[in-house]
This record gives sequence, C-alpha cells and structure tokens, in this order.
Amino acid sequence: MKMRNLVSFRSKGPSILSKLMYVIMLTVVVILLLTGFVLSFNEWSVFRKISYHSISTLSGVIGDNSMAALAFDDAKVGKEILSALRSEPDVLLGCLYSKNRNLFASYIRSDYLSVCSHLEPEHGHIFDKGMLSFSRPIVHDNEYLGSFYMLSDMHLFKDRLKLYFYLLTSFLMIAVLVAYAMANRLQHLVIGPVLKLADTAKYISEEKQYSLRAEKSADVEIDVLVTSFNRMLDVIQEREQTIQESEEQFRAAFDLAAVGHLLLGPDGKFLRVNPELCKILEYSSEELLELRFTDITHPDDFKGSGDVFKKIFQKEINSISLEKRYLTKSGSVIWAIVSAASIRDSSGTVTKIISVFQNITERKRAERERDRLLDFERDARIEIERSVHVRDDFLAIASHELRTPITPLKIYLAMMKNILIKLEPDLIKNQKTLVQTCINSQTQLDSLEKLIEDLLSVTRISAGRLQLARTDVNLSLLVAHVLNRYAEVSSKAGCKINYVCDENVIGYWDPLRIEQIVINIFSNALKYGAGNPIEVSVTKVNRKAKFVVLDHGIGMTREELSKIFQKFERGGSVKSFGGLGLGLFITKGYVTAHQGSIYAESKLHEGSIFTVELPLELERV
Amino acid sequence: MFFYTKLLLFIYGLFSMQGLAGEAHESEIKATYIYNFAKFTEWAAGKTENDPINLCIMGKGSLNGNLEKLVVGKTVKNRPLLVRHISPSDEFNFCHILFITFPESDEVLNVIKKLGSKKILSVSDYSEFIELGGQIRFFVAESKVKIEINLPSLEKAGIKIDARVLNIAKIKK
Repeated sequence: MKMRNLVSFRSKGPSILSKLMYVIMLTVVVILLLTGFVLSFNEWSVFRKISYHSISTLSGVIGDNSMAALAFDDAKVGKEILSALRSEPDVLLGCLYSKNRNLFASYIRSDYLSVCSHLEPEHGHIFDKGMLSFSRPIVHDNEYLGSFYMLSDMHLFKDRLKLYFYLLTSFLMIAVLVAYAMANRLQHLVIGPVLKLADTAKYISEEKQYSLRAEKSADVEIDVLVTSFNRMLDVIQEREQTIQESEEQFRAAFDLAAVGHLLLGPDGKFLRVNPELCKILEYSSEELLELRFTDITHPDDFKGSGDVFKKIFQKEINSISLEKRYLTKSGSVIWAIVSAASIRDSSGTVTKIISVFQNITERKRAERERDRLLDFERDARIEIERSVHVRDDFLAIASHELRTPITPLKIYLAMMKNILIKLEPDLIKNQKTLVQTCINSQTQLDSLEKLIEDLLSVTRISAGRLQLARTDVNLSLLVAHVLNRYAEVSSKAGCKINYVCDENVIGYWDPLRIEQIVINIFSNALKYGAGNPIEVSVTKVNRKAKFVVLDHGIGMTREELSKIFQKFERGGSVKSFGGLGLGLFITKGYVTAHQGSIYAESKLHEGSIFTVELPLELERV
Repeated sequence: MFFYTKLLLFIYGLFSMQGLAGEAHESEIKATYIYNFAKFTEWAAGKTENDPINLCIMGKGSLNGNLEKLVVGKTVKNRPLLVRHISPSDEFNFCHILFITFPESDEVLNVIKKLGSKKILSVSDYSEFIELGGQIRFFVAESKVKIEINLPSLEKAGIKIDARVLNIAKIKK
C-alpha cells in the first residue's frame, strides 16, 4: 500500500495537488498585488501631498521674497529672486505677475520649451498630466501685490515612484517564487494522507478486497474521512455477504426447482436457464444460452408472446402468466404455463425478465380427454330427452286415440244393458247372467276410461298445457261427498273414516281437478291403509285451505318418499299394488296449477300423512 | 507740404506728451514708494495704535496729488494714512515719513539737522541726501526710479525697514 500511482492520479484531469497549488499561488499573488496596489496608492498620494506641500512652501518663499520687488515695481530684482529656482530641478516655470495681473518676471528651466503666460492664471493648484501647477497670490498687509505661478514636472516624485514600482515588482516575483517553492515542498504534508486514502480506495475497488481497511491518520479531518470510509467498508462487506447469501439461495432455488426457470435479456436471449428447463426442452444449457425465446416458441404463439415481451420491457405490465406452446429440440409440441416478471435496476429500467416455466402438456391432454367425454355425455342426454319427448307425444296421441272408441262403446253397452233389463221378466236364467256381464263390462270400461284420462292428464301436465276451469268450490262439502261416494269401498277395505272439517272452506278453484286431488289422495290412503282407521280433515289456516289425510298403513321408506311425486312411481311393489303410478304425479300437477303445495310425511309400517294447501284468495283474473 | 508740417507737429506732440507722461509717471512711482515705505517700515514702540501715520511732503514738488490719491481709504496695520503738506519752517515732529522734494541744499541741511535722531523716516530726491545724513534717496538709473538707503542713519533713528526692501535698493552701510 504505497503511493504507487501518484503520477496516474495527476494525469487524470486536474488533481487536488494542482488545485491546491493553484489556490496557494492565487492567494499569494492576489495578496501581493493588493498589498502592492495599496502601497502604491498610498505612496502616490503621499508623494502628491509632499509635492504639493513642497511646491507650496517654495512658492510661498519666492512670493514673500518678491514682495518688495513687486511693491517697488523692480522687475530685475524679481527676476533675480526667481533665478533662485535654478536649484530646484523639478521646477519648469516660475512666473511673477504684478498687481495689475500682467507678467512681471519669469523663470524658465533651460531645457523647457514653453514660456510664462502673459496673463495671470487662476489661483490654486492643478495636478495634470503628471505636472503640478501652482498659483498663489502675494499679499502684504492685506494689500494684493501680485501673484506667483509655478509649474513642476514632479520629476523627483516620478523617479521615486518608478523606483518604488521596480522594487515592488521584483519583490512580488521573488515572493511568488518563494511561495511556489514552499507550496511545492509543503503540499505533500496536506495532500499525502488524502492520496494514501485514495490509493487504498482504488486498490479495494479494483481488487474487491472489502475486508481491507484504510490506515488511521494523524490529521483530524482525514481521520474523520478514514473512519467514515472504513465504516462504509463494514457496511459494504456486510452487504456483500448478504448478497452472496441471497445469490446462493437464488441459485439453489433457480437451479434445483422442479419447474423450469429462466432469465431473459432485452434482446430475447436466454441469460440463464435451469436443468429442469433443459430437460423439458431437450436442449443442453449451452445450446439454450445461444438461443432466443422466439427460437423455441410454437409458430402459432409467436405474435402473442412477442407482444407480452415488448410490454414488459416497456413497463406496461410488471408480471404476467400465460399458456403457450413450445417446440422441443426434437420438434414435439409442449404446452407450458409461463409466469414472467420484470427485474428492474435502481433507475427503474427493466433489465431482464425472470420466468417460471411449467410443463402442462399432460394436463392439457387430460383436459382434452375430459372435454371429449363431456361432449359424449351431452349428446347422450340430448338423445334421452328426445326419446322422452317422443314417448310423451306418443302417450298423448295414444291416450287421445284410445279414448275415442270408448265413449261409443260405453253407449253401446248401456243400450245393450237397458234392452236386456227391459226384457228381464221374459229372460231365462242364463240371460240374467248376460246382464251381469254387461254391468261388469261397464265397470271395466270405467277403469279403462280413468286410466286413459290419467294418461292424458299426465301428458298435459308434462307439456305444461293444463287449463283450469275455476269457480267457487266448497272444499268441506266436496270432501264430504267424495267420502260418501267411497263409503262402500271404505267399509269393504275395512277402514274406518274420521272426517273433521271447518265449515265452508270456499276457494276459487277448478272443482273437477280438486275432486281428483281429494280422490287420489284418499284412494291411496285406502290402498295402503292396511285396514286401519283413516283421518281426514279440512281446515282454514292462514288464508289457505288445508286438506290432510292420515293413515296408519304400511308407510314408506325415506327413499320411496323422495320419489312418490315422480312419474310412474309408487309406494310398494308393482306386483302387490296395481296402477301406472301416475296418481300422485297428477295430483301434484293439479296442486301446483292452483299455486298450492303438497307434501308427504311417512314412516315405514306406521303410516303416512299427506297435506295439501291451497290458496283461498286467488286473484281473479 | 502742409501734410508734412501736420505730421511733424503730431510727432512732436507725441514726444512732449510722453515727456509729460514720464514726469507724471515719476511722481506716481515716488508716491507709490512712499506709500510702500509706510508699509515696509517699523517705527519702534511709542506710537499709539490706530493713530494715523502722517506722510509729510515738504518742498516745491508736491507729487501732483498722487500720494493723496494713492492713500485714500488705505491703512497700514490698521492705521490710516494722512498726507500733510508742510513748509521748511513748519514743525514736523508729528510726521512719520518726511519727503523733501526739489529742495535747496541748505534747506536740506537744516532739516536733517532738525531731524537729528528722531523716529522720522526721511526721504528725498536730493542727490547729496545720503551724504548729508538723509535716510532714503530717489535716483533715476536706466530710466527707472531707484532708491538708496542709508542703513546707519536708520539704525541711529531706531527705524527698521523690511529686509525685502533692501533687496531692491542701493545700500549705504
């Protein structure tokens, strides 16, 4: 750590050394010049004063001496007196003027070419063009006798001033030389420690030896600098260590990750890649570092990813995640999710892009497979719906067509029965059996009609084409009538019926549908009632008519209960109980058409409760 | 012819006028000198301040009133100047300067005797004045009026005359 590079410091622009020299020399020169100027000025003014004083004294003496000459008008004596001026080398002219202001006597220095003015000049003194002219009146006892004019070239004064100037100049030059020599010798005393510190700083920054420290200095200011510098080095060293650690962490995270990691430069080139990325793309890292990201991008994704790349570098977006396709070295297509983020330097300029590259080719394949299956399923569903539709249409048409021949058939049977009854008295025993057969046929035909009616209702409900013929209906009475009608059937089934009702529960409903509802629910109760008592009630609750049928029959499982309102479903097995299983579906359809609700509760082997609620106050349209 | 006569007469006139002018000039100069003597002379103590300085003129030439003209309104050391014309028989003790002009030689002698060592500055244009013991004499040299001063006589009378006046005078020691 010696001062090796003093010369190199000097050669790079103005050094502190030269500045210091400059400052010292400038100070010295300015001080000397100022001193010289002040001294010269002082000397000059002093000389002027002295000159004035001496010439004033001299002219006083001359004037005094020439008083008698003037008073007695003796020009010759005047001239004699003036000739005394010969001993004064400065005096160019001496002129005596009489009291009538005319030239009286004069003295002219032998080498001076001008003469005295004939008329008396004004009194006073004038410094002009390096000359001093002086004119004073000669007065004796208050009487004006004349005046004396004198002109001096201040020769003596000028010579002195010149000498003074030469002395000053040579003093100044010597002083500058001495100052230069001293500054040259002494500046290392000041600048040496600074250069030493600079040398240390240079060495540290070049060799990156942040563990080195600058030596302490005896100079207070330099020592402050050295201390600060060393403290800064502490911080740098610490930070260097932190950076190294985080670099290490970054490198480990980058290189060992199970996903691809990469750094991109502004030209699109790979700056750094991790082994996983190489594995995915089938390149070696050396090969990848020669490539740009566009080289491995699928041609169809060129534009999109190019735009994104540009936007990141133009700071329009900070980070982005996108799916795109890549080509491996062998040419196979890879799907990847790429998450990219910008890395900025301290000035905020984006210098690189860091991105995570996740191979999702497998996932993509699975997604495609799922989509295919979903499509397949959807197609199947559409096919099923179409089949159901066809079935419903068929049912509608079939039931309609089936009903058509039943009515005439019923009429024919009735006619046949009536004829047979009329003939009864004459009929023989076997013929009576014929009547019974007719009656049985009628019953069967009614069942058939009902079945067809049910089918028709189902098709209407399914198609949403149910139409209500509303009128005022007394539900209490209606239920009573139905119960009466089924009294025989009930007693046959062995069920005791308990009917409880509020009087006159009247609503604006379709009476036929309501009757069907009541019949369906009640006949179900009889059917599954297992001969136990059945409780029926009609009540008015919260502006609703509430119709409840409770049996103590076989009941239903939870699973069965959940299906009873669906088409072609029923409690119990198909074998032990007949019917299409349309009853409750139709019931629910009618209740819903009346804006009412139906629900069932049941426990297996304990019985079921069916509740229907119908709005009493329906807005009459 | 007539023209020349006229020219000649004119030139003569010029000369005679100059002669007259010269005379007048001389009396003027003498008057100035006398006035200046008053200025440059110190009479020893005894004379009261603010008393007038008496300038006495004795004799035929009376300086044509030039002295009177000159001293009007002037003072010397705050003392007014008075011009007195006196005759040789008059008492002249009050005089400070006594100018004896165009005198008879015996008159001069008498006056000088009378003056003795009195503090009176005696001035005359009489050619033998200094030899007779007078103090200041006018004379003409190089067509200029000059003075001669008798220092011993002045010392005897206790009169001090300014040294600068001595510069311009012929001195008898």
